[in-house]
Amino acid sequence: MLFPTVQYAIFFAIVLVASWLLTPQPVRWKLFMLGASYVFYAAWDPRFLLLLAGVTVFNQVMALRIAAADDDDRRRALVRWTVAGDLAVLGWFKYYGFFVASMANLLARFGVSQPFPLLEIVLPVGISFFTFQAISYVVDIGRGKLEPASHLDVAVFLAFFPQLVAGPIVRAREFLPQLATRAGQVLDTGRAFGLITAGLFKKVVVASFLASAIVDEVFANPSAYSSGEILVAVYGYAAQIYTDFSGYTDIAIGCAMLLGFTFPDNFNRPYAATTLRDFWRRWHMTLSRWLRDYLYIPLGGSAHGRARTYRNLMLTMLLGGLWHGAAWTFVAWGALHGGWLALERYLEERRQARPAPRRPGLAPLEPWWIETRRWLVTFHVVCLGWVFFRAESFDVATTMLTRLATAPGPAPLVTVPVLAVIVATIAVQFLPEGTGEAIQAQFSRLPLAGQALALAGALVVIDALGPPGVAPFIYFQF
Amino acid sequence: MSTDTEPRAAAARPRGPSGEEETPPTRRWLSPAQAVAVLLAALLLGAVMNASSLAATAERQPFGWQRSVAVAVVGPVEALAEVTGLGRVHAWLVEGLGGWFRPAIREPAAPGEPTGTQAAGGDPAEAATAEGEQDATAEGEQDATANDGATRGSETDDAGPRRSPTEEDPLAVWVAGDSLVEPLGAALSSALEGRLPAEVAAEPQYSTGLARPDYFDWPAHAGATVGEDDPDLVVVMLGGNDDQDMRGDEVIHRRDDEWLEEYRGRVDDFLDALTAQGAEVLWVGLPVMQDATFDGAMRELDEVYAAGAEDHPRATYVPTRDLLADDGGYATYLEGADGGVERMRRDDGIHLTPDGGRLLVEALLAQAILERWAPDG
Repeated sequence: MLFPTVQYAIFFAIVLVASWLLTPQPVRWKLFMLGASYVFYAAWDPRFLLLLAGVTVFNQVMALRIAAADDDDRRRALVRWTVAGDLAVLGWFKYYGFFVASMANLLARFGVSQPFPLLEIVLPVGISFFTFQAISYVVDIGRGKLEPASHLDVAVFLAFFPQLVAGPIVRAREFLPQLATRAGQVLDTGRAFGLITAGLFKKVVVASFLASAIVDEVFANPSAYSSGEILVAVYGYAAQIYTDFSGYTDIAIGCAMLLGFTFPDNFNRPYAATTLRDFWRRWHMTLSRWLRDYLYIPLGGSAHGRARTYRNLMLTMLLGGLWHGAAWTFVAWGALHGGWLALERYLEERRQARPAPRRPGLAPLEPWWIETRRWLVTFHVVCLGWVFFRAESFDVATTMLTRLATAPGPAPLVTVPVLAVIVATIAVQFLPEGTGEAIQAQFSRLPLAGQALALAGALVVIDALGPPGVAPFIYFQF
Repeated sequence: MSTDTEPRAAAARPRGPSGEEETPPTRRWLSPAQAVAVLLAALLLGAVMNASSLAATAERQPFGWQRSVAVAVVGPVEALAEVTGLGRVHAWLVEGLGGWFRPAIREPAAPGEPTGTQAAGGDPAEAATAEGEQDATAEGEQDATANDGATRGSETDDAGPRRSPTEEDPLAVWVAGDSLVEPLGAALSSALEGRLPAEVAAEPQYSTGLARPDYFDWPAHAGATVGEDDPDLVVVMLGGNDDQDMRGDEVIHRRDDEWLEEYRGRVDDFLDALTAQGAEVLWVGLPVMQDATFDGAMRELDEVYAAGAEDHPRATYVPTRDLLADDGGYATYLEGADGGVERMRRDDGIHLTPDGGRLLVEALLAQAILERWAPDG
């Protein structure tokens, strides 16, 4: 069940009403929410429910054992086994085919036939998200930051439908306490409704438009398009993946908010970033901090010298790349990001080591052109990454990049609406912080009937400008 | 990723009077009851204002009780929109602003039909179901005679001698079908490059097929396109969306015996339209699907295509079940056109990846085309 559908609107309306009616009875509420979330998930494929339930039971059993362990070594060992188990599940469903195919191609170079059979495995929707959330639960218990929750609470946490299939990646210790404080709340509806309508607009209108107007066609067959079209398709994809993914998680955060849950932000105007490090503090923020807390820091972070820091950055981004999809193009994307992050760090350290004249006590003022240059470089590194991220093979990616310079000619796909939408998507990110909040505040002070009218109007605009079908969502099977 | 710094203080938002923090003064917060009231009122009002597109979405659902319920519910909503004039905003927006966005959007609409009513941005679910995720159909254990080896079908004896394409007058190829056809266009143009002067135009029309001419009328569209572009060759691949009931004078259920008969008639009509100006047709059969039930249904359709193409003087059927399979079974990864093991199918277990498209083109289609138009080269 996708968010921008009539089905989901009906589902959510029913769940929202029932949820607040049941709130005075916490156990019933939890059972209801678990059931609703399972219904939501089963709408994709009922077989996946077994997996979700299995992951829940496994992590809860292990969590209880970890909490009961009497010494640190045993606790650490148990955490390791649990994480290994979760990763094994993820690896089996998501990476087995990729692994075997890559291995076969490698061995074939040495004339050896590959030993593993290629099996047909269906990839369950959202598996990358709920296994990561489960890992946050057991690791935090192992670190003593969290007590095991009740079985029902954990089941609701891992299945909670707003964030189940595409994030944000909510940590157990953010979510579980909120189960106890739901009653008697008032809701930040200005923000919730604002996120939902903005999310729908971004996803249904902007992302689908860019996908069908230029991006899909060019990436499907770059050799048929000119340099101009390829360049705009790359910028277009940058705008598309942002509007698509941030739109979807905005809807998730807004729906959770109406149900009485506060989720962490997931995007904060990422294309305004002036360094790649800054970009990762603004892009898919819940994944960034997951990778930081459960991968980069356990690897040693930046605490063991320069070489280890660069290695850790690289490893984190390579694995982060692979998390997005089982293909070498995602590894290349991760390598580019890891490499550039390390380079940025190196240059920054060198710059700070130089005894540059500085005004004491004040942050150095950068002239505007340096900031602009940084922004341009960062944005284009990110765009270069997107070429590999979107391309279905290295062939496509290299054709795109070569033709950027070698294919002059007319560019009929580059139209005024396409350019306007791309520029607007990026320009909006430079609005002063708080612009969105100000609009939400205005909205929230309208009388209730006015709010309903405004929302209905937004639905009409979105529906009228959106395509008859919605382009497939990019992040589901990651 | 943000490395050593503190995470943005994102999680700690005010939680209202029950929480520890204060409500920011600028935003007014609502009680759950008020929030529910606003949402429900907005959805109901929005439904009335979007009635035309809701109706179009309901109409497009596969025939069945869900569709009947949806259509029945939407009917009065549409009437209400009409009476109150609330539907006009939507129509006005589509006319006024929609034109700005829409021309670029591939809009599956039958030629001559107004497109404005199809503004069903609200329901992509039909796209998913239309991709063939529907419930079981007759899992006919049919003879897989359609799948033996290379291309077959009636040779184009009465087609007359074929012309020799030149750089000035290249072979005009139209690749037409549903989303399954998507990777074939690019693969075909690169496969023919340097071997035969050809111009390949690909047209995947998403969520279409022969079962629902009320949604997209392929024979009519084919007639118009062929009349205008006059291709030498049409490569067709579709069927993924057609495992559903059809409507003739009345609804013909997928499991009824007459369904296949009716469907065969539609395949014939489609072929007639495609070949009306003298084009030849290569009809690409459906590959093995991952889901067994769906595969059974697709195999039945495939039989119909094979028989239809075989009986048609200008069409040739190209089976793919053996090529895109491992020992007859579904295969995500296979040895590709270059000898390496490549991913051939997408995660949905239905569509081909570009590598899958390349394999299909290199192993079957390119050869079939070169045999016909470049017998010496």
